[in-house]
Formats: sequence, structure tokens, C-alpha cells
Amino acid sequence: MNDISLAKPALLISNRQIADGIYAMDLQEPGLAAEARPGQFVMLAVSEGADPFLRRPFSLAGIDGDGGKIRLIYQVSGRGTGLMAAWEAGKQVSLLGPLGNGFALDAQPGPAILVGGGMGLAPLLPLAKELRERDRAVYVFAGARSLGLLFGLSDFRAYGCMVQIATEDGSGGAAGFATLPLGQYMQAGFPGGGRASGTDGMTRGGGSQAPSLYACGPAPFLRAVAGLCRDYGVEAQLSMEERMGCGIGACMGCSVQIRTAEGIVRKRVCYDGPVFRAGEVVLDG
Amino acid sequence: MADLRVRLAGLDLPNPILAASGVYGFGREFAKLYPPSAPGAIMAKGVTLEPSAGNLTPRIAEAPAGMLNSIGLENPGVDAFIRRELPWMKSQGARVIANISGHSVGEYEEISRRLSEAEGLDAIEVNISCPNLDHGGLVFGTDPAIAAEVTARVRKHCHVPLIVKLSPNVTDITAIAKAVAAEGADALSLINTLLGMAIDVKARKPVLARQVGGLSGPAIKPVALRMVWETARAVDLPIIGMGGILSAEDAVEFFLAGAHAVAIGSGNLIRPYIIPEIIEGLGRWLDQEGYASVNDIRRL
Repeated sequence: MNDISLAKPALLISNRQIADGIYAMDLQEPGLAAEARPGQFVMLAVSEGADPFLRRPFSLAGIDGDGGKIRLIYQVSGRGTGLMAAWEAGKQVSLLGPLGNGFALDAQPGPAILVGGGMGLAPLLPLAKELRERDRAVYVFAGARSLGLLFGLSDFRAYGCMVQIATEDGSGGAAGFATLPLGQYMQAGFPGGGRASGTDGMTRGGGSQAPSLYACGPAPFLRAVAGLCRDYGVEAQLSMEERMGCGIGACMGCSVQIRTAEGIVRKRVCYDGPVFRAGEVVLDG
Repeated sequence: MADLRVRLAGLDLPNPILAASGVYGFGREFAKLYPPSAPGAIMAKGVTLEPSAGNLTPRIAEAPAGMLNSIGLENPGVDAFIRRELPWMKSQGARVIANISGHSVGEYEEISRRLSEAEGLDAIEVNISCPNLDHGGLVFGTDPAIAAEVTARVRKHCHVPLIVKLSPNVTDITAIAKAVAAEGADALSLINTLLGMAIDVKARKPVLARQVGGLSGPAIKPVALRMVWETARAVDLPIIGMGGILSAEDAVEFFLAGAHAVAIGSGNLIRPYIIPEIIEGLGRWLDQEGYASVNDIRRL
């Protein structure tokens, strides 16, 4: 855990648009792919020179250990990602990773609830795949500003997940954040899993076992998810987004406030996270 | 292979490529990539008298050919440094330069008094780019008299080489250099970051939670070189030069400007193996240019 195995070039295999302004980049690097776990990330150099300067953190959106490949999904939002969108197959890309601690895949057999907002859906894709391989029932709640910005839905469905969507502009699914259908699902008593005994075939290994929840997205979104989890007594793991300098825990650029028995302390998203327990993350303001 | 050893204010270093304070923590993270004994010395993360939580995020912003940071000196405090970090660093064979910051002259003195009992410490670097809470938050390093007072107070307890890290956010850096030299500084390191700012036009607010931060990286290299060059001509003290070094050639520029050693800061973030790479590259450059020792590079 937290050992850096790679700081060398990976081979770009494909780089294509999958949603409005959102791209998927597949890279060949067998060492990294073999070691990586859902929830971990890489620091990618967008320039060989010094401008843009900083490496960019991207969570692993696909892990193919046998094929020696990983996938990154990114939204073009500035100079760095703008440069990346123009990259073509065959390019050598400098990656540092896998970094950080992934999601804790507890041994409990209950259903898993995955909640992603915007680009926060990316790390949930390899998580969903792994959970389904472990025969866990998986419920995905996917939200975005509009339908054109949602991605990965067919992958989630192919893995055998139940998928519900929400869009802020109402262009698809429920109108609002993904916490809207999530809240309805919780209020209905977790149909198909969780506390209620379901009958839809998605309860294999589920039954009346307590569900576990995994979420990733912007801070206000995570705040809403954490609130629902508190209200319904659901254990949740949140994957945090933060601007990073080094990605390996040295520069303290990404320290966030974490509640502990000794009070509020700072922990590094890159090294101590990016996944934290919902109760310990201070998400105010 | 050319001789890379340097002697700096009584400090014997195997090479003149140091890890700059701030981006390198206490060496634990980079130890997973290469041994902490590889850099000429590690200038440890700045410590304060008490543990400090630092600023809220965002603490980091991209800048043209560089970056801004406003970490706010998040650190475990000088006692934890002495008890936990220094012994570990020494056990790894590192040469360790403590970096200290205070909010008052008294705090600087107390930190250096505690460090005077720390076993194995190789040198102290005094960060005078902090706000002085006794003087309305004015930065110590921008006033020659206050910079001199801090130096004198640390000097009272400091039995190891004393390095003062100069701020570039001044009109005349040589005035500060002369003032701290007169109070017993053994060496100078420069430059600290340049105060800067980035604004998010979409959100219409500063990118950094603390609005302003320190600019580092290649963007500041010309300023750093000019200040090293000016300072080397003004005072007779060894200089550790830093500011945007990304290659052996960059380091050589600083030696030519008058530095005796250099430190790598932000470069570590984008190229994690940059220190061993530059050490190797410097040896190659010296061999190619026919120098027997790095000390043979004559300043301009």
C-alpha cells in the first residue's frame, strides 16, 4: 500500500470522446495495471517541459490486470486536459502510480450502493466491476448536469449493476442530483437489497445484509450523500477530489480536515486517501 | 568522474544538489523512490514551535511554467521533528538541515534552543519569510533590522552551520544579506518563493483559499539567478541557490552566478527522480567540459 511502483512512460493505446467534452484514454502499462485497485489514481504529466507545470491527478476508471491496461476518463476543462484530448495512439505518457489507497472492499456480503456525481463516476467503474466479480449486488446512482455528460452507463449495466440516473437540467432520469433517486431508494427501504428482502434477482448474496455505500463527486454532492447515509445509518466511503502537487504525500498541497478521536486533524488526500469514511471527512463550506 | 563534493560553511556534502524545504517533507515519501542519502542534504519541511494545521485548500495552483502554493506551514512542530523525524532521517544516512519558522523573534529563539539539543542535526536554515505577529504581520525577511535580530537570536543557541533563507519580495536583497551576515549567518539560501496570485475567471475568485501564495518553478529562475548573482557580489558568504532548477545546466547557471550549492524544490513534484538525475547530469557535464571538480566552476 502506498508504494510507488511506477514513474515511467506508459503507451497510449486509444484516446476517444465518450460524452460531451469527456474522453477515455487507454494506456498500456502491465506493472501498474497488475497492481492497481479501484479507487487509486495516477499523476499524469501533461507536458514534457515545464508548461503546463504540475502533473494532473486522474482516478483509474478502468483496470485490466490481465491485459496490462488502465483507463483514465477526463473532462476537457483547461489547458492540461485540452492538450491531452489531442494525443494520439502511440504516444508515451509519463505516469506516476498507482497512488493512494483504494476503496476498502469489506468482506460483508450485503449489496453495494455506488453514487457518482459528474466525473466522480470514473473511479466507480472498476469498483463496480470488482464488486460484481465478487457476486455483490450493485446499485448505481449516476448524476450529471445533463444527459450528454453522463458516461459509463452501458459498462455499469454490462457488469450487471442496477443503474438509476439523475440530471440537473432534467434531460435524463430524475431532475436533480443523484442524491434524489438515492434518497427515494433509501426511503423505500432499500428495495431489492439492504434491509428489505428483495425479489428482483439482484439480491444474490444480499438479502437482509446491511448495504455499503461508495461515492465520488464534488464536495457539495458528497455532503448531500453523507447526510443521507447519516440519516439512514449506512456505512459510506467517499473518494475526495483535491488539487495536488506531488501525489505521493510529500508537499502537503492536498491536506483536508478529518475528524478523529483527538479532534480535527489534517490528512493528505493523495496519501491517506483519496477514500475516507463518510463520518470522518469535514465537508462544511 | 568529476568530484562533486563541496564544503559549505563547514558542512561536508557528497554533492551540491540539495532537496529544498517544503516540497520534500522529511524525506519519507521520496525514500520509496531513492535513498535519502542521495541528495547533498535534505532541507527538511519547515517546523514551527507548536504543531501547525496550515491553510484550507485549495493550497496549490498552476502558473505559467510554475506553480503557486499556500500550504501555510502545516507541520508537526519542532519537538516532533526532534523526536521522530530527525532520528529517522539520520538513520537513513541523510544530511539534515532543519528549516525553522516563527511568528515572533522569541519563537525563533526558542525553536533554535530546542534544536541545539537535537542529536545529529547538520545545519539550521532560518525561514525569515514569515509574518511577524509582533509587528502587525510584516514579514521578518523584508526588514534588514528585524532579519538581523532573528539571525542574532538563533545564533545564540545554534552550534551548527546557520543558513538564512532570503525572501525575494524585497527591493534590495543585498541589504538583507549584509544585515544577516553581520549577525553571524554562516551561509545564505535564496530565493524563497515570490508572492503571487491566480484567479479563477469562471468562479470569479482567487484559486487559492488564502488568495495569494508563493510562486515557484522555472517561472522564477531568472529572478533567482539575478538575486544570487547580486548577493554573491555583495557578501562573502557561501550561497545555496534555488528557484526553478530542472536540469544540470540550470544548476550550472547558479554555480556561475555565484552559488556553492543548489536546491531543487518544485521540480521534485513533476519529476520525482529529478535529484538523482541532476546529480548524474552534473557529473557528466563536468566531465564533458573538462572540470575535475564542481568547485572549479568559476563564478562570473
